[in-house]
Amino acid sequence: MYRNSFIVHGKLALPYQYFAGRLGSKFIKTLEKEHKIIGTRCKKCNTVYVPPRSICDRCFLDIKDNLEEVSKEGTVLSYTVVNSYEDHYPERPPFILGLIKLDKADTPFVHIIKNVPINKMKSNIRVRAIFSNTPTDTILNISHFEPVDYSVFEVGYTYEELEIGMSASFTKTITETDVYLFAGISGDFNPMHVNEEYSKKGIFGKRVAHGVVPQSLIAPVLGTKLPGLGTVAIEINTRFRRPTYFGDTITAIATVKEKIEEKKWVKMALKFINQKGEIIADGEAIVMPPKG
Amino acid sequence: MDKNLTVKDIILSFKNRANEHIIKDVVCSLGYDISGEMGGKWTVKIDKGKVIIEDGLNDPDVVISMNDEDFISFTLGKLDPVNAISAGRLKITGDAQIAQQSAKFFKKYQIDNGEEREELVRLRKILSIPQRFSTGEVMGFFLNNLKKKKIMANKCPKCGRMQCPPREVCAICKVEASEWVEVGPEGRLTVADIVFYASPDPLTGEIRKTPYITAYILLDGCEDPDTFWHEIDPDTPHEKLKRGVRVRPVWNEKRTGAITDIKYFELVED
Amino acid sequence: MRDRKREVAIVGVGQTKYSSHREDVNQPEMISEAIFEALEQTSLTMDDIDCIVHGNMELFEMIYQPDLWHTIGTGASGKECLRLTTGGTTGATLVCAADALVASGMHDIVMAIGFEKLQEGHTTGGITNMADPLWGRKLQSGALVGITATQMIEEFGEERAKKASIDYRIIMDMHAMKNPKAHRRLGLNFDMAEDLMNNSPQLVGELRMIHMCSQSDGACVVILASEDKAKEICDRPAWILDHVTVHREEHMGTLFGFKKEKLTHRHAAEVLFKRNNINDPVNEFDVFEMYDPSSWWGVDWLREFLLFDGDEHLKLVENREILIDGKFPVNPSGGVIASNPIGATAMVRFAEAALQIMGKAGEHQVKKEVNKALASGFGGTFWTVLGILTADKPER
Repeated sequence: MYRNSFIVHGKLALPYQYFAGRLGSKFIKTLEKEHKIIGTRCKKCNTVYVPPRSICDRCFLDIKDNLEEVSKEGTVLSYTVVNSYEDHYPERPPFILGLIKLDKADTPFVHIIKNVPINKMKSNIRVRAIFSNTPTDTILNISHFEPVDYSVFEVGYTYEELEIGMSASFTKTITETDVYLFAGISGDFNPMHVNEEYSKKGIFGKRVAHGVVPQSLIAPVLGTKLPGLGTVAIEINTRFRRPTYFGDTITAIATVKEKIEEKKWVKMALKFINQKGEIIADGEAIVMPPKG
Repeated sequence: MDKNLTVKDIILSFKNRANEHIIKDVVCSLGYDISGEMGGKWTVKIDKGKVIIEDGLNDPDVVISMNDEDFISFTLGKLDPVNAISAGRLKITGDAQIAQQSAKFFKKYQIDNGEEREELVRLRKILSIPQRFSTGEVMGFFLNNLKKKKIMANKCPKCGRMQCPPREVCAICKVEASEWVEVGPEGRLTVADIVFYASPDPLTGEIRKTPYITAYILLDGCEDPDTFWHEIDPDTPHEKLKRGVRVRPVWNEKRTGAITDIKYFELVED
Repeated sequence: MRDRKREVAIVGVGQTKYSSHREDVNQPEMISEAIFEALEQTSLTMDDIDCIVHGNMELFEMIYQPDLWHTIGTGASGKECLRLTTGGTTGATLVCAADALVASGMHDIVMAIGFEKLQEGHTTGGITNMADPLWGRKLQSGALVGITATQMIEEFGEERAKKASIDYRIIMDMHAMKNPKAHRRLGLNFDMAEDLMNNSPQLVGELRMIHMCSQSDGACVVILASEDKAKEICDRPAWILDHVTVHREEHMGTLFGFKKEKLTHRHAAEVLFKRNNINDPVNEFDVFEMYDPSSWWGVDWLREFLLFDGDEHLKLVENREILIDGKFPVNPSGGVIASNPIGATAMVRFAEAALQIMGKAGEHQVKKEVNKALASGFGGTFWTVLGILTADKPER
């Protein structure tokens, strides 16, 4: 029973300052004025420290005079996404903090990584320093880091990201041109594909596309959509159900059917339908999704 | 010391050394009374970003007095102002706070000797953290009684000491102090401290107004030496703060259950 | 002293120069200066150090977990490292803890590090936060207390009290002038007494700026070793005979009643002297390094530590017996009034006492042979650490 206890609001407000020291100041000012990143090397263990430090803590030697410039580019060893917000944060959330090891340096340090879609961020990407035009007297003289090459982010779903039931499709109208080009590519000038008069007497009553032409529409689905870029096809089995006539519009659909845990492969159910909703083919594929 | 450097050079350089972003809203005047061969009297007026230098002391807010050599050493950062003040070599008359702040008004004096000067990074920050304190039952009881103009002490059942403000236990006997006794409100002053040094009040971050008088008071009903720590009316003449004089609390009209429920104690004049 | 497994000695000391500004170094860099000096003095390398105890004042530089980010300057990488902070007594507590770590057999060689960069924080604001937020915080003015001056003036008269405190101050400055590491070296002499005691700016009551300790940046390092190692490392180590720590409640009210509460200093001295058969401290100790935050406290606390009741402490000052070549040298280093990097300050007392025994105090070495030294730490709401160092290995 606490009848008398109550809450008192207070504040702790105290001024303070921080001296970066001679070496720390040189680091910060070199970022500002020369857009260069310097570190210090321990001549005993050969470690290059960035930001520079005066003492090698492993060898306990004074290394403050062994200044070296390191690269403005480096590799992200690890990262985190900041989703909360406090007044002293340099950015509004969400933003990415990366542990970046610059080339020619041995120690990583933390900085902001920008221009990366947060859901695409990953370790081991290459980044470069972008310097700030307004002096800050802090490490924010480097405004942020950004990727050297953006193509690394254009990858499909990884094994872990794929879920059973996910689907994707691609639709295209099969024309006479398609069929004739394929005949040229494959050498398959079978008259049922290229001879209208001959075909009138056959079971389909007119020219039909090669069976593999509509089925090839699964390639852009698996390779660029699901799982997407970086996918390797292991096996494709299909069964022909109906002919495809010139002018038919075919939709190729792939659906995740099974995840093969031991190999990290995925079994996809394949379905090909025409504009009338008729199934012209179906089957299965086993693919190796990208590693991320 | 640089033989070519004169006191007048330094005074005139204030104009070029102004930190405009800091003084843009500042209105004040600093007097310099420099003795010695190179000495003289100047007034540096700051008026919302403008710096005006006048000869003579023209009713400045604060006067900084020192000899010429010390002034040059001080300007070049070779004489520590606190040391100089302690040793009486630097005197500040008038509003000392302005003198203190003026260090920020101007950039450091730099002798141009052609060398590239080294820049040392210094970050200035204020740490400000909101806090919540629970009074607890015992202090809560005491503070709630202040609202009713009652000062309550709690008594140690073993040694009989009267704790005010109260503590849950007697730290000496290590037993719970459970009995409440109303004490005061009058008492006798044991000793007072006249505080001239302006420190920040950590509860608000604001610099306290000086001088103020803190005092230890033996409230009627309390046992010596368990005194009560509070303030004395800052307008009390200092010579009247004699050991043993009787004092009484001046209550605040608005009471919230805080130390400020008592404005201060005042002397009971016969 | 209570049971200990083995004897312990201070074998090495390192100090930075104490100064009001160390803008040229950051915190770990400043600490490493003291460490390099201590390693050089002992011819040890960081590999010989088994454990590091590290401390400073909380809230003073507004750095959280300084021991962690100081690792690059303390050499603690891959070693055991402990952090201690007990207010002004921190430096002395660090020495006591290092002593315990070696005496117990847990470690052979321990390095204690105390540091402060007061210029980076707000000392008075920081100290004020030790007071109860519901009461004392509104009233406290950091460590500035004028009451001792008031009490001394009441007891001994204005003229005698003021003169003693300013003479004490001048003696400390004369000592500081002999210590190249001291921060404030003002070149005071006794002729200036009158001017200083009346014209120095008032801080609190009769506590004037001239009386008060400096605010310094600096670091101190002490290396303690077990008895076998100590003899290998140092010809004349400073053995730790005994130390005592006395704390009291946070509440300050009982200190300032009509009757004076017994100070922790006196209590500590009584306990320590009794345990070690010290009957005549003035004659038995060759030097006293006292934590004296102001010259008023310096004079008043001589009375407490030396267990005087009358005016013997004033006479020690008036007769200049506390001068470096006097009968009872106090603070040949210049004391806390000259240099006060607070987290290191109490350690500096033990370090300077050890240097006097080792004979390595340089220009401020006491002329007579120093065989027994007293060192004190002060902090919190009147807390005390008091210790005795000896040139002879203690016989128990």
